[in-house]
Amino acid sequence: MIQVEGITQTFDINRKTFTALSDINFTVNKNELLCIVGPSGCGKTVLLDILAGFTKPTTGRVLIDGQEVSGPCSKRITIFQDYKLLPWRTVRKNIELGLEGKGLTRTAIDAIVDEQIESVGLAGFENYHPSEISGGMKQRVAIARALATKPDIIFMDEPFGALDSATKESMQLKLRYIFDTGKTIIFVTHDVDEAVFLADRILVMQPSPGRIHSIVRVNDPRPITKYTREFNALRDKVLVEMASVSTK
Amino acid sequence: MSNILKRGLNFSVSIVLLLLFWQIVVVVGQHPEHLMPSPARVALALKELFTDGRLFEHVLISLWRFFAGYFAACLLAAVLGTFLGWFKLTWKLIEPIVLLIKPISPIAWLPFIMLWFGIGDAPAIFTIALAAFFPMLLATVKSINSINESFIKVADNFGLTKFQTLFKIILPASFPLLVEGLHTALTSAWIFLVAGELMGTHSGLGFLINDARQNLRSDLIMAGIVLIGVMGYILDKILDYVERYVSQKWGV
Ligand SMILES: Nc1ncnc2c1ncn2[C@@H]1O[C@H](COP(=O)(O)OP(=O)(O)OP(=O)(O)O)[C@@H](O)[C@H]1O
Ligand SMILES: [Mg+2]
Repeated sequence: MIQVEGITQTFDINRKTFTALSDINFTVNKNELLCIVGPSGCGKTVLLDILAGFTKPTTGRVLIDGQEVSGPCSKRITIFQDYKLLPWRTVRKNIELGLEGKGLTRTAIDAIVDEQIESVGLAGFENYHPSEISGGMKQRVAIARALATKPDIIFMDEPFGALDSATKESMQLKLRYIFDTGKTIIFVTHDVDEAVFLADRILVMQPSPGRIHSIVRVNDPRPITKYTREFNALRDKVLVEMASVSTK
Repeated sequence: MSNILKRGLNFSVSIVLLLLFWQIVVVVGQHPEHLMPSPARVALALKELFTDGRLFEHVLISLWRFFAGYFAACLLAAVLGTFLGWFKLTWKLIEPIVLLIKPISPIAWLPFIMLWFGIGDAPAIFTIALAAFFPMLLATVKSINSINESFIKVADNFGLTKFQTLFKIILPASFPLLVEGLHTALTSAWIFLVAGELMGTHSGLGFLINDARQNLRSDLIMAGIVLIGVMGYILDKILDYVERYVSQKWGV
């Protein structure tokens, strides 16, 4: 379980204090998929960075299973929008990154990597470099690299934003499938359809200063089918919430 | 294939133009032969050097000195630069010193170099090393400093130690810029090859030129100049190719 307690984040810009996040409180249950939506600049990335331990909040704290987060950890992997693959490593070597130097034998590493390559459908591309594969494939490498370390929690910052709609669709299904293997996922997106399709709950944020506007529960039985009446009703509900943010 | 052909054609046209210009200067200027040898005379001088074996002797010894100085300097600069780029505070202290010494031409140091290293290969190697060292050092520090913050984030996230981060992330990430540094250092060092060989040696392209001067053989001087230019051109092209290969392989 992730508990976010009274998080505030300020930045000093040109001697002025800018409040990026103000008094954020929420919890995420184990094996829950929480989507975060909100207009650009409302602090989604800053919030994700704090949850992942990259940034220390100005005030407040994040507890994961009761332990205060003090830094990043390979049990909680962040997947970035631009993948952040290492361009000099092959697909295989990229997936291996989190397994090296951890006292695993070569055979153990290879077995894990093979399994991940298989599961994200990258067999045959092991020896390609990131510059030689498509955006969707890069995204799958990033996911395989994250899953290889068997994380409990995955943070994703608009991971499918740059993909075409067909690739996006298949990645969403893949993500639901990964989620069902018992992960907790926090997923930032601009795409309301995506949020409704993926999330158990949707956290709507508002800007200036960045804070929580509302939380929408998507209590439809999973998997939800896109564009059914139930789906559309939920989407409308989220869109209304988001509209009330932007007219404020 | 046609690309290579086109480039070859380009190159030939340039060379022909250069020779033409040179010949015109000789013919129109009516300079005495020892002030401006003609292309034909220089070609004969090159042939002379080639047939009596001096060409290979001088070229080889020059290349040996060059690579000894160049590689030693680049290795030292790369290691030191990595260290200084890694410990930013140390670099803050060292940077003014480097920037102060860097603009001083190795030629200005020559008298001291002769005093310190005496005669033989050492002064030439040191001069070349000095010319290569600072460009490589600055390039290394810059490449370590300019590493994309998010690669470090990835390293932290996957639990890499500081040491692993340096060798698995920072150095490979800065590799293309390091190769660029190697290229700059090569250009800089090659320019000072002649200077390093002007005094205290009896071999090498620098000696060849200086010796020809004393014997009033302007055709040999020019032959030496041509050799230096051609070899510099080839070395530059090789590093050009390496640089392109690396940045392509690295995909950055
Ligand atoms: N390191 C920083 N220093 C100063 N200001 C920052 C820093 N990081 C973020 N900000 C500011 O905090 C605000 C929130 O940024 P953030 O990147 O979290 O927005 P976002 O919700 O992720 O937007 P987008 O949807 O466009 O990605 C922005 O105004 C940004 O300029
Ligand atoms: Mg963002």
